Amino acid sequence: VLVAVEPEDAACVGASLRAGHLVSTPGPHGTSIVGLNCGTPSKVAWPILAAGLDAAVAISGADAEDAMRLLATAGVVAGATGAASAAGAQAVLSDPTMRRDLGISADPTVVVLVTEGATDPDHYAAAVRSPSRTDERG
Amino acid sequence: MTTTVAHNSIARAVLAYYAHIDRGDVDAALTCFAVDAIYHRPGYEPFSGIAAIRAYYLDTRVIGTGAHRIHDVVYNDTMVAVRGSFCGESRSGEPLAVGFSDFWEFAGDMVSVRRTFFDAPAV
Repeated sequence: VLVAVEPEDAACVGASLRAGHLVSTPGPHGTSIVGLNCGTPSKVAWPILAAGLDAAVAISGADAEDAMRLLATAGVVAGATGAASAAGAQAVLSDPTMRRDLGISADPTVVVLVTEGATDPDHYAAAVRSPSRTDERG
Repeated sequence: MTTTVAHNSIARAVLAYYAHIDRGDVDAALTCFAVDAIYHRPGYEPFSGIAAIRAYYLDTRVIGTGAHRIHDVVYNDTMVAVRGSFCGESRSGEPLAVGFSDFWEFAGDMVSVRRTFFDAPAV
């Protein structure tokens, strides 16, 4: 199962998969997941995405920060863009309908690619220091 | 958070066809065709039925080796449209380079009709 992860503010791959053709999402694209802040999929990549992806997940900046904290507890320093993959994996695995539709087993092996470190040190420090939303909810 | 499952199985089947045919694996390439599929290709009478389509690939096809590059793909629930280019050699060793478009109609998950067009002058 291959899943693309993108910001909610620029969720153009999911929109394109739904439409069956390249779709641009209207701006402004103000996401904090800056490395993925693009409102139009690559025209060159589109045929590969159209035939290769099983799903797409759109995440918020808060979702990415939760994943930054999760990865930090495992010793992985990841910025919001780098942690987006982990956030997407969490989204898929916590969605029973998605799991069923994608045929994900009860004990899956998950690979996430983390391709960004703390490129914004101030944001990283603030995010990792903040309590997780799970903690806030008690 | 929004999740989208890609209902792209027919696009996947079409893109797999090109990969199989470029490897010379005709049997694998034709697995997506229905038994009664029809293939329209410029310069030939329509090939009707999987046996006729298979015979074309094995006995008649001008192309010897080469590779398709897919530049664009559009799909809906029952149809896939592809624009691409092919570069390779004929069976007699002549270089071949041509742009093409392919329109694939599906009945369920099997190809029922395929229509190919080339950008080479023919008339």
